[in-house]
Amino acid sequence: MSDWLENHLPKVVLAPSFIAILIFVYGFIGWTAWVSFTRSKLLPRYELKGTVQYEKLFASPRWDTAMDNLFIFGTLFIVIAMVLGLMLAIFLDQEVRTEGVIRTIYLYPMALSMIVTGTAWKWILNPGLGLEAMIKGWGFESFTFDWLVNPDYAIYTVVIAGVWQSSGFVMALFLAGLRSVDGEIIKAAQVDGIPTWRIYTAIIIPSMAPIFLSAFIVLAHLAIKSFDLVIALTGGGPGYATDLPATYMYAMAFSRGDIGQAASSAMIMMGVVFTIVVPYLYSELRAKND
Amino acid sequence: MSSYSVTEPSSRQKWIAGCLVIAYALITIMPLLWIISTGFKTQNDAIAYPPEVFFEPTLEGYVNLFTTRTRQTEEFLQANPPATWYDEIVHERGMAIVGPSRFGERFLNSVIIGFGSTFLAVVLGTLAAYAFSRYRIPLKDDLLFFILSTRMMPPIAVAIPIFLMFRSLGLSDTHAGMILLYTGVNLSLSVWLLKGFIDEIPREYEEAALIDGYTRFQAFYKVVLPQAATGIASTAIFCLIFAWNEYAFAVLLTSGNAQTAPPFIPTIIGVTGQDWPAVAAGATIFLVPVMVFTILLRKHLLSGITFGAVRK
Repeated sequence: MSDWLENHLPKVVLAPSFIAILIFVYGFIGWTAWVSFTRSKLLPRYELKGTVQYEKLFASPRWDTAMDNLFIFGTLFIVIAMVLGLMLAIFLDQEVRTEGVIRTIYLYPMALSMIVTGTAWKWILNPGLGLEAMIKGWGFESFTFDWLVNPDYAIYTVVIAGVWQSSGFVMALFLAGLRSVDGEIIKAAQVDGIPTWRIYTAIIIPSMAPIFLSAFIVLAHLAIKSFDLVIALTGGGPGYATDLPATYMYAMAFSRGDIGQAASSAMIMMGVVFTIVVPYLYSELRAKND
Repeated sequence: MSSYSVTEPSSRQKWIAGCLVIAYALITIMPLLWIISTGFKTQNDAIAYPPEVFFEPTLEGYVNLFTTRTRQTEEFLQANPPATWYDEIVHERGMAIVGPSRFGERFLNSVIIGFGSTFLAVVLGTLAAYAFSRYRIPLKDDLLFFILSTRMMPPIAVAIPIFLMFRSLGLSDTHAGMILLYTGVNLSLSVWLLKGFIDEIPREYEEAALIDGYTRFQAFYKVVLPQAATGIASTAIFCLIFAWNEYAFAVLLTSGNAQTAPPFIPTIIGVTGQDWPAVAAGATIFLVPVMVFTILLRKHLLSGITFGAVRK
């Protein structure tokens, strides 16, 4: 018995994790894929009916809004978080004394539940209670900041909260990158009298290209996964003005009772994540082990 | 690593940079300060116009969080004088406590489900990570990739089959169901992070132990585990933070018996009509454990979010 165990130990200890992932992730993705080709409504049905769900999905104005929002939110969220993160990293790198404390403060929003910190955001962004009321209270009566309840602008409040949540993490990534830049090259450039801003734009930032890629991948997959963020701030509203694919999928599956639609939108989401993340992960893994 | 800069800044540069990073730190911490301070305000102070920065702290929000109350007539209140300090706070608002609220239960559910799933994910993850780190496993890279890939996928995309499975197996709204689910979601992170930590422990220690007559399991248990303790602890905190904060599945799969705090806290608003202090009090109690863990974990925080790609 103990000999058998000794020989097969790695397989025995790996099996539970492996089987769990195989069934509950890949098995369930497979199931969702199958159902996305059926006419499932409140209950799943298993007769394949071709691509009707996808046709319906692409004809749906609500899904259109969700995809537009994903594009607006994703682009702004990634660009602002990266620019802000890089700037904060460069500033924090100027031998700021309280660095340890500030790093921890920057990172904490990422660790806290967005559903719960969202209550604060809802209050701050609420025209009658938060920022608008405060600035009006200071005497600027004409000041308005009603993005949260304005269907045209509500998505930008999601960007604000998203950037707040993630910029510190991007900062930390860039800071680690800044500190792995070869100091000798910079010293040489300084000796040659090259101005500091040129050193940053010509030497330091280009040498951090891999960090930009990692930050992009992490932010992109966070953007696609975003669910708590929208639910916490706007619940997808006003109307469905701030729907993202994840909230669309959730609404279809669990309040509209349209499992077929939900499954097809889930598959599109998965496809987007897949095309962004998989090539990156695979190349990372290869690079690490070679 | 601290106080090292790639360029050598002048004192003026340092000063400007310092002001900017502190300004952003204040913006970052503002929502948290709002939550903590509102928890100690009265309802009127909380929605005061213009907002109050200095106010007289009260525990009203906390009392409201943990109790259910009804409005009472003046005669009733006079006939039943307050017996405790929290009775008194409620009496001053013309109300009487009729019982505890559900917050305590929900918080306890968060603790049970969070710790239960963390324990399982770390035990299974440590075993799997050890096997990945020390044994020759066919297709190891592909298996690792297979495990890691699951973490990047939107978990909501498999919500329908999970929902249906939970319903047909009777796992909906049970602690066991939620523990299993979160264990599954956390496994990939746990395996991946722990493999990194175990890889760093020199093999020589175990080999020496094996020569001394330890079995493989004894060597693992008595040599590897103590060495990996820091790594296991930080992995556990990551798993706990995930399970603690998880919302989408909690709101989908639990409603009463096993409901955790995240779906519950926003609903406090609905029950008592915009009771901001009570919501903020609940949020504070809920956030404190994670804040403590974040501070404990600050050195490893980044490696957890990037799957160990960035170690510092």
